[in-house]
Amino acid sequence: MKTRDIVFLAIMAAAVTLVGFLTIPLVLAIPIPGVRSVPAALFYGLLLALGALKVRRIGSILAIAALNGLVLLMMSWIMFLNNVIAALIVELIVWLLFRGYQKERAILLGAGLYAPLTIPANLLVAIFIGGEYLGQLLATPWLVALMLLAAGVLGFAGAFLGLRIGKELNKAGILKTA
Amino acid sequence: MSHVKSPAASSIWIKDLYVRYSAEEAGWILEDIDLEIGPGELVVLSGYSGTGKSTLLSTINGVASKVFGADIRGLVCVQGENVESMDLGHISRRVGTVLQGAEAQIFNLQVDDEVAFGSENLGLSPAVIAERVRTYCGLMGLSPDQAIEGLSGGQKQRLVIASVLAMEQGILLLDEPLANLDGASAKDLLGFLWDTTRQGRTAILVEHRLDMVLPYATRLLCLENGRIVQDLDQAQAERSYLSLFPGRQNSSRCSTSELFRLAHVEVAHGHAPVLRDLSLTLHAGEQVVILGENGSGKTTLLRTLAGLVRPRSGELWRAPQLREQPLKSVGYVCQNPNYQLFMDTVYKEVDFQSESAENTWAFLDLFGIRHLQERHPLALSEGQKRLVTIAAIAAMRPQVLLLDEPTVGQDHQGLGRLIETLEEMRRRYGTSSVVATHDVRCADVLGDRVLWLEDGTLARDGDHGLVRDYFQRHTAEHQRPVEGQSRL
Amino acid sequence: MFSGIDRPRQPLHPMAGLILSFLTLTLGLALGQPLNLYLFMASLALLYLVAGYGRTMVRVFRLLGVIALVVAGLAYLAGDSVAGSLMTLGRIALVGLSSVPLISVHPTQLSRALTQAGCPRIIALALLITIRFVPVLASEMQRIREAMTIRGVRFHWTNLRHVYRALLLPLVVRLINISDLLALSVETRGFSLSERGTVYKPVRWRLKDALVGMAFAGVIAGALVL
Repeated sequence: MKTRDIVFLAIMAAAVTLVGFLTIPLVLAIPIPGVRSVPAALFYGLLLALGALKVRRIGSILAIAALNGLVLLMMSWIMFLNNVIAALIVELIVWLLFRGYQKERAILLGAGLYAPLTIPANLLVAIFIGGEYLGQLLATPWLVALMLLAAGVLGFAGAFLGLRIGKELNKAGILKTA
Repeated sequence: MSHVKSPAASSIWIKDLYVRYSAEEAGWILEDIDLEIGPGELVVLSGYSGTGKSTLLSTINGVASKVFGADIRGLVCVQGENVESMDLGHISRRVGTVLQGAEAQIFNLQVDDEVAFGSENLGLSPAVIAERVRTYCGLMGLSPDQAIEGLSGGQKQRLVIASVLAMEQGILLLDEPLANLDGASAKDLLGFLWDTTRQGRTAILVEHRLDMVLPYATRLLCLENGRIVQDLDQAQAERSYLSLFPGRQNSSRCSTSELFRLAHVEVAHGHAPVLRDLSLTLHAGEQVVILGENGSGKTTLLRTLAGLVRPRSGELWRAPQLREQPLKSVGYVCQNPNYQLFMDTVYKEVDFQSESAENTWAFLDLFGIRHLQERHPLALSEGQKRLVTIAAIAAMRPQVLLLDEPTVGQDHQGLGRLIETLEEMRRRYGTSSVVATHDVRCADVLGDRVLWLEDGTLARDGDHGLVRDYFQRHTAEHQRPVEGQSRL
Repeated sequence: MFSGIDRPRQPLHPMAGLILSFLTLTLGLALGQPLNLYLFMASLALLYLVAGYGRTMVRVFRLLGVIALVVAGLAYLAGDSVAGSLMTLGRIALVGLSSVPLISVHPTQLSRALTQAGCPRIIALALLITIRFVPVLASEMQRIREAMTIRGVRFHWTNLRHVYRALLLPLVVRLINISDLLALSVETRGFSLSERGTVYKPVRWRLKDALVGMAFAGVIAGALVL
């Protein structure tokens, strides 16, 4: 990767961080498993899609998630690990299926999957910390499925939007994709 | 034209240079450039927008080929070495570049860290870096341990300049470094450049504010259509500059009907007052120019008139016709056109708030941008974007047009067209205009009435004569230092 | 974002803070009994107080205390035993305690420490960029909203087309412009992926870091024995 690629991914990470700061406090107090991943999912999908569109290399999404995670690390290890684990799974899936982000479908999949994948990691930690009984309350299957669905739909919608914006800006000569 | 000697003896040596950004393009951005600049020279690059000034700078510092992938023919040498044979890191050890847009260049959280960044990249020892941080923070009037978050726009510009100067390269390239700088800071910077070039460095400035820089320049290069058409020494340059002003149109037609009345208005950002005890009345049909240093309150006054900012105290009265349809009756054009463009063609942009297609075509013609109608606005040059933004807002046919630095990046042609258009709008629709500007060309032609702000107060309010007073005060302050007197 | 944090002297070296935080969390989560967990945390709290994290601890627990009590209460109401609920309370408090050294880490100090530890400079640079541009992007968003409102754009959930074209699109354009300019500025100021460069104000390990480390080892040993 070149310096300008990494700078671009860092700016995307700043945008992802900003989205998190704006959306997560709105739902922090709601005791529904995975709800924190839902309001930001659309924007995560959009920004990660743009990141992967511009820097079409395996690791782009991980870089953005990890940088966002490093900022969150200055509050808690848990948030950092959630990000990195979800991003690693995304990169693995994309690498296995497409070997990179050269195809738009790969970008759509990777960027769309990230937000819903943060839910299982969050949930496991919540159950571990909260104990068995709270775990039973939280792990209500239909609630978790609903959050996964919501985050997934919004994540993919965001990724689709990101690709659309990328295409328009590429035509205008502003976003030069690799 | 300069006498081309040899690359080894020169700071910058260019021979048979042709540059274009893509091999598929038919025309060249720069054509047939032969240039030699030696140590001790302070060169000003002047010319119309799009004529190749920034491209010339980015060819010298290697950015054009190594970052933008430009197609370059000919030879460019800095300090005897071919730029093509060096990577950006090596070039940056010889050539320092000050870019426009300070806000987007600062990534540290404290002043001294940002100033130190370039020196860290050079691998200098911490002790040497610390010394340079102290020196250049002092020169630019910055406090090393200040948080960057609290800096003003002008301070951030000075910070970026300090960061580059601290690297102490032999050649300095500065792209409009005086933008956002107030008179005192501009004088300090130009004085430093004067001193440092006396000691053997080379500096090249791209700057539209020739009134400020010419007293310090040793040479003026004028570019036109990618070629150097004039290569003047300092005396020739100053004489030539006086002929560059567009002619002033006599137009002091304004009615007695009041549009805005401010009485003891105070506006603050947070706790800090920006406008203090401001009282004035604006009338229909007036062409008003607001002059003042950075931080004097020009933009805040425009934003107050636009209704974006509420006064903390005092009274702001708007005419009934402005109150009824505030968004349509007062058009505000931001400094940065990128904030106000969002459609995918120029036509749609101008048509967005236009009352009819006929009106849209009329404004496309008025602004001379009909030929751009199918282009994506974001793909245009900065000067074109600015015209499109103004056209789009003007197409609403507002009663008042508020323009914040509309001439930034505009060449004389663009400026002339803008002035003609504002005058035409006044004739046809009775549109008043209020323009905040640093640009003497713009103020000279548009300033029927001049509001001179100082430190948030209305220092003077008068007719066109104030323009000369204001800019002559600057010119007097920017007298060339006496040979042999060093500030360093 | 980090302006509220005292700048000059952090209690510990940034890497020491990171390690302390990580070990606090992982070891604490491994403790199965409420008594062990609370004794572990009490010892750590004392150690943190001595190390200079007192103010930060107060700030963290002012926020987290309420959340911890609410969640533990919910666990009890869900049918958990008192011991189980106390465990829940304790683990949430543990998460808070482990974040104390992290909150005090200044990003610039962290980036310097990472570089000194051999981490590629680009990572430190990227981290600083990410942090620094969060408020910048927030301000850009505000400017775009304002500028578009003046143009007559209505931002409303019923008018998503305007939100897309007049907010999202210009914001993405600004992201790209900012990124391009920043990259150019960084490269023309001599930054190179292959060159190491120097660190202007190196972060040094102090005796205090070693002493706190040894004390922490003692706390761990005590927890394991118990």
